[in-house]
Amino acid sequence: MKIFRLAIVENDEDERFFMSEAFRVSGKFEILGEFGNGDQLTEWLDGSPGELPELILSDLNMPGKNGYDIMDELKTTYPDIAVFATSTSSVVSTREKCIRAGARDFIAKPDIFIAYDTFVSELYQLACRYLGG
Amino acid sequence: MHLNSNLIFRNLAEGTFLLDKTGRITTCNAAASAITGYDEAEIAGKPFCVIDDCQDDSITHSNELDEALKKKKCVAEGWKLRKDGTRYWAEISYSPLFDDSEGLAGYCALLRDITEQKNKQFDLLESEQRYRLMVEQVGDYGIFMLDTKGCIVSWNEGARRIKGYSAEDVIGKYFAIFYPEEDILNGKPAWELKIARSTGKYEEEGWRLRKDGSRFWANVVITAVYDAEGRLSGFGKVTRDLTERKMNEQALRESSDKYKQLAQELSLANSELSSVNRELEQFTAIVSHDLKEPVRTVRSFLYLMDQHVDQQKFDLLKPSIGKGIRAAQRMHELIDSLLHYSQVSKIGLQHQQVNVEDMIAEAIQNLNDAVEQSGAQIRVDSGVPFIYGDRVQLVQLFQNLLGNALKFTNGREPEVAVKSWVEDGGVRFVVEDNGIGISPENLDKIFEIFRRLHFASQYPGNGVGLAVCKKVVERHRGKIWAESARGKGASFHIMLPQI
Repeated sequence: MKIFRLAIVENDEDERFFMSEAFRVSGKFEILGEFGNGDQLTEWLDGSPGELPELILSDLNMPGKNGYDIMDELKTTYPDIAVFATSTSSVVSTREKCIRAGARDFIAKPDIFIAYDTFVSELYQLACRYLGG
Repeated sequence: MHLNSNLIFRNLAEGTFLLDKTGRITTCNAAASAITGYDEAEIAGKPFCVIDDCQDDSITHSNELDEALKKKKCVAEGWKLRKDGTRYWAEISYSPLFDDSEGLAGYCALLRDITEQKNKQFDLLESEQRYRLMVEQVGDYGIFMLDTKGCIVSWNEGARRIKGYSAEDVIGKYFAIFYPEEDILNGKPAWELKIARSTGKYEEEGWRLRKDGSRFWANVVITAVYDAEGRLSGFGKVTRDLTERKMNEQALRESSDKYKQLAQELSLANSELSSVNRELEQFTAIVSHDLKEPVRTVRSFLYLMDQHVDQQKFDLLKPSIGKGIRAAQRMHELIDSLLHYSQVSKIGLQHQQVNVEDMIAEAIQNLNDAVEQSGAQIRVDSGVPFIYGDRVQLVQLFQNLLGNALKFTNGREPEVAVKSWVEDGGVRFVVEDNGIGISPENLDKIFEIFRRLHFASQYPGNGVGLAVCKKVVERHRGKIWAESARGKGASFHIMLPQI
């Protein structure tokens, strides 16, 4: 089974905690880094980490560089990293807007953040489809 | 051949009669017979009026003979009848003949048939008369003549209808009576004649006066008229009443103006609608993102607490309760801010004179606590005494800008300057600080609602302040933007219309 290298960008600490817990428990992802916004992510990437993530899961609304800024920036700086956007929004136009901005896809967050397991398997399937299992 | 007077008389090409002193024909020559149709024998002894087909033998006396006697010569013209009854126009020249003792011996009458010549004259006269009659009867055009000085010498039916004056009213008057007072004061009538005199013609459309004082829109052509010797003999003036056309044009223009205005209003309403629509879309996005987030957090912690209780992990309850309360608190603040933001666009905008110094002083007063806590120096230098707008919203604008200047300081004592001056017909405001500044890529983003550059733990806030500022400025038909160089503070610039 393929294990994907992942970086998470989410400003809410509690949310991020439950999110990364679910990823770890699944055993399908290796989390290389957790960041509070795009600024922190960029800083880490620019510091030449030993290994680059294959995919980045990014929230949309964040202080400083937000999800759209990340998609926009990585499109040119790290075109090989697949960005997946996530948000509480379930509005159709949000997904379209993200894909236009450079995201591979958009997954809506679960109704409550203690229920991330379905979300994790959904992202795994998408990752396999886009990056090859 | 011996020439005698008799021979000359007989051979004269002119019709010649000799009359005795009573006016009876003594003799006539062949030329005279050729004209009249009577030979000498037929008319000898008859009164001269026989050539008028006068049958009364007793009428011998005539005025012409009297005059010829008095003035030694008399020339008369008139219709005469030939023997065959046909008419001819004769010119007759009478001369009295005197004997050696200066006594009246008789008369000589020279007769010429000038019918042909006369007919031409008659034709001309007739055509002139017809022409005059026609001009007189034209009803749609005012046609009249002026003498060289501009006094009216003729008047037609059209002129009477258009201007309301009868011929008796105007003949002999200076033509300026048709002009409005301002034209007379400007010397326009005389000027028009001057143009017609120098170029042969003057043409224009303009307002003229009727007899009753009402105005009509006239098309006027003044033509200089010259006599056979090329001397100016007067002016012909043709006037048409185009008031109806003028009114139609005006009505057309008015209705076109009205439609233009209507189109403008529609386009304005349309752009207002689109702007409301955009706000509505933005509102949907805000509700789906920003407001949903804290609700979800509260809900999540309630589920988590439920698990804690099931698992008897009561010690874990307290932190979850705290986080749930904080999320609810954030929710409350977000709703308040959103309401505040939407109020700015909803409430009718006041347009009042606002004293700039008072406005800034009020904004600073509202921030009193923050000013004291931060030990800020605020310098106000207003070069503009008044602006026009909504006082409450403008105070809010400067309060938000000054509040930011006091907040984003990185611990340094804030130094803030507020300046204003008149620029390009508008008023420019600048709020300048010595704070942390804004990086160039964020200079536009900071005005988006709920957009935040920092974590709440570092600089608290909800991302509404500058969005409100932008909305206030835009509702005042102005522009707001930020300028900053890293580490050198930020300055916020506002351009507002002066009125």
